[in-house]
Amino acid sequence: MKQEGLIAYWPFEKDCEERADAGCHATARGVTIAEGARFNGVDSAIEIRDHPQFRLGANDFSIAVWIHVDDKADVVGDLVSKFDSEARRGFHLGIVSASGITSTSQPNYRNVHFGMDNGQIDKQWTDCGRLGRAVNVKSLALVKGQLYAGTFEKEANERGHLWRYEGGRRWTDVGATPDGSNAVPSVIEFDSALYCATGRYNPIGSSLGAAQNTKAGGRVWRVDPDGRWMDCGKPGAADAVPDDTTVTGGYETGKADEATGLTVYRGELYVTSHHRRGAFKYEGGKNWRYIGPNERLMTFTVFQDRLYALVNGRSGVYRYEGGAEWTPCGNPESSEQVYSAITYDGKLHVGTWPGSDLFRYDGLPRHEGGGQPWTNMGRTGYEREIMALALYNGKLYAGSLPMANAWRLDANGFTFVGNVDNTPTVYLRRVWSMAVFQGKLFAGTLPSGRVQSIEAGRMATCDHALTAGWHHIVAAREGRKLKLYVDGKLVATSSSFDPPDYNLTNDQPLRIGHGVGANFCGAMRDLRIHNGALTSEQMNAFSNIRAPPETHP
Amino acid sequence: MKTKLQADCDLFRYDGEQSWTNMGRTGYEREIMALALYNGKLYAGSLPMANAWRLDREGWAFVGNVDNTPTAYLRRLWSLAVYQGKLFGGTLPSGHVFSLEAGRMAGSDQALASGWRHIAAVREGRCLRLYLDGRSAAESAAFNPSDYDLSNDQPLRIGFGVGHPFRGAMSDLRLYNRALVPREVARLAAKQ
Repeated sequence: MKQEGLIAYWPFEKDCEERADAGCHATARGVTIAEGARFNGVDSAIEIRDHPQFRLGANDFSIAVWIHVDDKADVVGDLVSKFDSEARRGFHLGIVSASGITSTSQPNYRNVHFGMDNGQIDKQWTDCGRLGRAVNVKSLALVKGQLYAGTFEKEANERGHLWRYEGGRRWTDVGATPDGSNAVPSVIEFDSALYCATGRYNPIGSSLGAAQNTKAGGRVWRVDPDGRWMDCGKPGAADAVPDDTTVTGGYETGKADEATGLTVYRGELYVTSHHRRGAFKYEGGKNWRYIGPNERLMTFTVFQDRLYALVNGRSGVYRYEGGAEWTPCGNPESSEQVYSAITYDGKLHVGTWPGSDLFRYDGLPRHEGGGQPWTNMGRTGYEREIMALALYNGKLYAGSLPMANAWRLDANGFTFVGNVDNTPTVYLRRVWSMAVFQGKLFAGTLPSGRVQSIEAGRMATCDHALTAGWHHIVAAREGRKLKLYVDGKLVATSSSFDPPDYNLTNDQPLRIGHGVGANFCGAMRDLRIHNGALTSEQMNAFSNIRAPPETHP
Repeated sequence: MKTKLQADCDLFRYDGEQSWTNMGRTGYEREIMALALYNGKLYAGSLPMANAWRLDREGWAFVGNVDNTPTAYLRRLWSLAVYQGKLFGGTLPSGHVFSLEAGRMAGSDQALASGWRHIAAVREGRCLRLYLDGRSAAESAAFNPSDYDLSNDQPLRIGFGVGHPFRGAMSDLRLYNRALVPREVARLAAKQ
């Protein structure tokens, strides 16, 4: 049965072949057929060579697919794309989780991203306002579909705040640190609630002088919808140097006064404490368990279903093995701090100090063979440090120090995409945080305490975390907008565009289960590509027929 | 000197032969470009932020951003010159020249000719005056006298000090605790 407008159809019932007589042949590797096509999240991939059927031009099209999100899969990954990365031309559809974004760690979690581009980008960043009296926006993260920020305030009588974005330059104050500390370094959605960490940030590291407010932080809080901050304990406090002890000699004071890097991994919550060693795993109530490693950590990232710790020092990266076991993954050459991470092009990438180099992790096997497991992918201009990283509309973006510039990784290295903080009275500026929200890339800076946004191409993003189980997803280009439907409901619409600006035709292969970010982990069935937008009747029909096994036993 | 992995924007002092001492790095910059000796201190311009810096005992002090063009990720403070008592800086990519005044200076701005010359430097009321061979050669911008209490515990240095050691001959050096008037300066200059 060939429906009108159907370009290609993969039922994934018996094999990975296309069944709408498009005349194209799929090359599949590492894909098994069991209740759909199952992808392993590491190297499973289906690829179809460029074909006249897939040259979408500037026309409407739709992609409909059933996917199964595995229960504890933090990283779901890429579904379908036909994207020329160098020209930034084409489309992509995937489930994006970003982790390792400096102190925030996990700004985006299982968000559905449908993007297209044709080499378009805003001429400049848009000011989304200063957050109260913030000097740094230390965290930007999506919680239950909304954008939150945690800030650092500098003066003696000021505390760190939590903010919720209301659009334009408007932010709502969701409260200040109950412990009186000067920063909210990390914000995350965990167990369907907002959790954040508080800290005594040492502004000397940002050339802003000694801390004026010296109250210790170091706690994790659950902020309830009624605005109450519930104390979830102080990770690492039991064997830490007491908060009020005078310690000289650098940032490793041994105190548990700045909790940071909140990360969800396989359904559990992890955190580190900035001035002492080790990671901590949440055990409920106010209890945290020390799990090593014996290193001062910057933050964590989740890659191919494994948790990695980024070291604030020359030890590079560690992979978590469970219990208190960690495997060293080597130190990228010349790196003295691994500041951030992002999964891009199927590989883990990290940002470093002091060369401002981005390194790609090529995995342990090569390392065990004695080779260097890190490949230098390029340096951001004349900067010193890569801070925030993001996977945004098919490309890797980075923020840097000391100029607080933004950069995009292209084939020939990093491309400058604008200055984000241009405060002339300081010689150290940072793009500390980044998050993708409502189709745009948001960045938080020091010392302006502002958030700025930029739009490249067009995206429709579902900013809620996709739950586990089977979901039906439709991504449609329809007239002047992109639309995203999850389980038959419209969940996101892009900003409008002029259709002729977006001729998406390129000669790249159609990729299924891999593409711009992480490899897909989960199952897929009933994948359809239509030319033209779907009618609501078609949409209902597609999300009901081929009902997934779990809903039709 | 050890080879480094990246350019580090360090200032080195030459100690003779093949010996260099690192005197400090300007913030998080990559390169020291223009240098100047201005009003007793060493100033530097840097890349990529086009900042200006002053070398103090505890390292470099930030003395401002000179080119803040937001559309470029490489800005330079390429040139520095001292003129009319001020420090001038030329930048990339703005193509602008900026100036800065620290303290007060009277500078002759003319190359001093060879031979015996008479120099008189006078603090008089609200300005500094400089005389060459008995004639007024320069005066500083005005200042509020009470802003400039110059007392310090440093030795009086003759023939060396803030910049290059003196090379030449000196005679008839006088220090007065009042401002000489032009006629007095002319008379002293005529004695040669």
